Amino acid sequence: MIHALVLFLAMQASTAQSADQHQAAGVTALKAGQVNDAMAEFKKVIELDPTNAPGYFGLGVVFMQTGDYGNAIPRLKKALELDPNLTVVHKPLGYALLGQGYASEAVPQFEKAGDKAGLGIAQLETGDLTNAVENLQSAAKSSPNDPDVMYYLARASGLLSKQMYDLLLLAHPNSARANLAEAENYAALRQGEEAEAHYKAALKQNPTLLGAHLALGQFYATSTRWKEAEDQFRIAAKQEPGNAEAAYRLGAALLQDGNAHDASVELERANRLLPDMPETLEALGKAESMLDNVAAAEKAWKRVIELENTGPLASQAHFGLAGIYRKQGKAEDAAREMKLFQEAKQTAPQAQ
Amino acid sequence: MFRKLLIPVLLLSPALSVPTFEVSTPKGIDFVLEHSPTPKKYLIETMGGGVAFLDYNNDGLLDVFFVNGGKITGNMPLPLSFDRNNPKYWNRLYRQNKDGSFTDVTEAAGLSKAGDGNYGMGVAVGDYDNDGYADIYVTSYGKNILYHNNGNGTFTDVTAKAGVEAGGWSESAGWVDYDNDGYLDLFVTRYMEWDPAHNKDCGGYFHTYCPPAEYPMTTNILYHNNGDGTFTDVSKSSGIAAKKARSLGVAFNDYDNDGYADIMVANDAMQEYLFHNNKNGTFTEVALDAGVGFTDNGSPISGMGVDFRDYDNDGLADVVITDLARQVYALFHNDGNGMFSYRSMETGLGVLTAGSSGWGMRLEDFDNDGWKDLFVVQSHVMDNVETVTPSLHYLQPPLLAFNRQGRFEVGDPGTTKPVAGRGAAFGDINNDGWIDVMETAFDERPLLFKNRGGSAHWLTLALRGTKSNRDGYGARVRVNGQSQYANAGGSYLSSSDKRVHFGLGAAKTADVEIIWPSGIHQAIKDVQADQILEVREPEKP
Repeated sequence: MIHALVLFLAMQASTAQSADQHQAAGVTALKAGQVNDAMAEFKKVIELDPTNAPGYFGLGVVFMQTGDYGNAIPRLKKALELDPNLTVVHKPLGYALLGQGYASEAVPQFEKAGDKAGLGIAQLETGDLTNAVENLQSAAKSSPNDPDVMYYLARASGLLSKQMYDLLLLAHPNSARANLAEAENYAALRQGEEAEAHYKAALKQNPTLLGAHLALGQFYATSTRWKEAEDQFRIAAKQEPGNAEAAYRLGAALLQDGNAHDASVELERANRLLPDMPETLEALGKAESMLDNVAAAEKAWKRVIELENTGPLASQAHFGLAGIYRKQGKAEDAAREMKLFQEAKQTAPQAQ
Repeated sequence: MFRKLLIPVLLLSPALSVPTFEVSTPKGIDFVLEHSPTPKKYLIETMGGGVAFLDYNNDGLLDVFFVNGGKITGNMPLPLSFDRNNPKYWNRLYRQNKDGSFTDVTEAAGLSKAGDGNYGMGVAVGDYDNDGYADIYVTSYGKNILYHNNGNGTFTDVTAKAGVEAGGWSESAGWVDYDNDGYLDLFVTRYMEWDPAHNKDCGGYFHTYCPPAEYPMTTNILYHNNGDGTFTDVSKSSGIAAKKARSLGVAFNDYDNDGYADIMVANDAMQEYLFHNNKNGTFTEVALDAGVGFTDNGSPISGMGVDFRDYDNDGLADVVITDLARQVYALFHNDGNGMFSYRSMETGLGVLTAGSSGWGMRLEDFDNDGWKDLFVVQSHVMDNVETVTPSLHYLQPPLLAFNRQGRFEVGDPGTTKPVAGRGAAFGDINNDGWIDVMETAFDERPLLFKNRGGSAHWLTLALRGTKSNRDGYGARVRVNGQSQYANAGGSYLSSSDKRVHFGLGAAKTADVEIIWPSGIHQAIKDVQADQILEVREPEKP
C-alpha cells in the first residue's frame, strides 16, 4: 500500500514552488523509510500552504507508518475535506479508524475505496457477520494466500456459525438439531465423550435427521473407530442414495477395513454422483489396486493427476502409479512416477 | 528353489480352542523399568525398555534379562552420569527355577553395573564365539556393552577387546551371520544425534517430546565377527553407513531366499530401509524399489518395532512394522521377485490398529493353528498425549491379533490394563509348547503373558549349528507348509527365545526341512508333534 501512496504523493507535488519542494522531499524521505524527515517535510508543506490536501495526506500517511492512528485520522480527514476527490485517502483512513476502534466509521471509507478485505474486517468488528463473511470471501478470492484475510475470514465464519448455533439452541433447546449442533461444538473442542453423547441424543430424537449419521461417522473416523464409522456411513448412504459424500465416506471406511470390492462399488457410485472429485478417485485407485484391477487403478490415479498436479493427492497418485509400473517391470515409468511423487510431495503441506 | 518345495499347510483345524493368557509378574522378579521422566522431556526417557529370553546356563529353562534406564536430572551436566552404580538402575538377570519362579542372579553373574555414562536401551542375545553359551549385547545411550558368557554362570565385559562399543544413541541390535562364515555378526541401529545440551522443547505450552525430525539423522553400525573374539566395524565398506536414518528396530530374514540374510530396519518418521545382501559382504538399500519404504499413500510411518516373517505361509518373508496411532501398523506382503505390497488394510490391521501405538512385537503362532498371530505391546510415545489429542492414549493394553488364514482378528491377551509398554520378548517360558510373552513397561514390574494353551499340536526345534553358527541363526525352516527363520531378533530393543516354534493344528506329526546358513539341506520325516526337538546340523550335505 505504501508504494502506491508514495507514487500518488509524488505526482501531486506541483502547487507552489516551495511547498512542491518540501512535498517532493517528504515523498523521498518516506520512500527511504526516514519517517521523521518525511514528517518534517509534510509539516512544512502545510505550513506554507494550509490548503494543500496532498500535504495533509502525506502527513497522515506518516502517522500511519508510526502506528499513531489518533494523529493520522484528523490529517486524513482534513485532506478529504480540502479535496473530496482525493479518493486515495479513503483506504488509509479506513484502516486508521479501524485501528482506533471506530469500525462503523471505517465501513463507508472502505466502501468508497472498494477494499473488500478492510470492509469485511470492519463489518466483523461491528457484528455484521453475514456481510463480513461475504466480503472476506471475495477478498480471499483476489488474494488467496493472504494470511490476514484467511484469519479474519475464519474468525468471521466461526463467529457467524456460533451466532447461528446460539440462536438454534435458544429457540429449540431440546431439538435434535440442537443436539447435533452441540455435538459438533464438542467435536471441534475435541471433547469426544460429550460429542458422541450429543450425536447419539440427536439420532435418538430423530433417527432420520439429515446429515447426522454422516457427521457421527466422520466423528468416529476421526477417532480411528473405523467399524463404527462404517456403520454410520452405511446408514447415511442408504438414507441419502444421491449423496456423493456419503458414498465416498462409506467407500473410504470399507477400504480401511480392507474390503476393496465393496469399497470400489461405493467409490464408483460416488464418482457417478459427483464426477471427478480427486479424493474419490484417489481412493478408487487404491481399491482397484487392491483388487489387482491394474488398468482401473491406473485410470483413476491418472485422472487425479489431471485434476490436481500438485499436493498430497497428486503425490499419492504418483506413488500408486510407480508401484503399478514397478510390478509390471516398467522401470522407466516407475522411476518417472517416483520422481514426480517426490516433487509433488514437496508441495504437500507437512503434518505437524 | 526353497519356495518351490513348499507343500500346502496341512490339517489346520478351524475348530481348535483359543488359548487364554494368565497375566502377572512372575514370582521372584522385582525389576522396575526406571526411565526418570523429567519436565525437560529428554527424548531418551521415553525410548528404553529392552528385554531378553535366554537360557544363559543351559538348563533348558528360559531366563530373563532386563535392560534398565538410568537416573536423569533436570539439568544434565557433562560428563553425563545416569547413576548406574545405584542398584535401582541396574540391568537385571533372573534365572528361572524349576518351579517357574525366578531368582535375581545379576550380581553373581557379574552384570550389576553398566557404567555411569550409559542409559540403557536394548539387548541382543547370541552365541558369538560358538562356545555353546548365550552372550549378551546391551545397547545404550552412551557406550554399548558386550558380555561374554563364561559358561559358569558368570559374564565378562569384553567390549573393549571385541571393539563393539558403538557410542552415540544405540537402539535395537541383532545378531546375524550376514556372510555365512559360521560366526554371528552384529547389527546395531542408532536413533539420532542427540545430547542433553541440544535437547529441544516442543509442543509449546504442553511441553512434549520432540518429533524425531528435530534432530539430525545418524548411521547404523554393522560389526563383522572376526572369529577370534574381535569385531571389525564394516559399516562403511558394507554400504550400511551410506544411508543415514533415525532407526529404532531391526529384523533379519532372507526375503529373496538366496541363502543370505537381508536386514529390515524400522525408521522413525522417514522412509524404512531394506538392506539387500549382495552376497559379497556388501548391502544395497532397496526399500523404495521393493515397496517397503512407505505406505501405499507414499507416506512415511513412525517405525518402531519390526518383524520379518512369513505371515501367510507362502514361504516368503513379509514385514510388519509398528508405529504411532493414526498411522496403522504397516504390513508389507512379500509378492516374490523382490517386490512387496502394502497390505495393512486387507489383513485387517487397518481397523485393528488405527488408534494404537506399538513397540515390541512379533509374529508367532500363539494358538498353534499353523498361522502366525501378532502380539504387540503398546503405548504412545508422549506421556501427555491426551492433553494434546484427547482421543489418543499414552497407556495402552497390548494387542493380540489372531491370524485367520491371512486376516487378523482381535484376540484376548488376558488383560485390559493399560501400561506404557516398550520391550517384548517371546518364547516358551515353561516348555509347554505355547508361546508366552514378557512385556516391559515404564515404572511397572514386567508382565508375563503366560499362554495357558489349548488343544492344538506343536513342535519346537532347538537348532544346533555345526558348520553354521552354533545358534543356527539364519536357518530357514519349513514344517508342514509353514516357514520360519531362525533368529532371536526383531521386536523392539528385545531378544526372544532362539528356538523355532511351529503350531501344527490337528496334525500329530510333522515333516521338517531345514536349510542351514552353510547351505546344508536337512529333511526329517514324520516327527512326532508336541516335543522340543534338538536338531543338529549334519556335518556334511
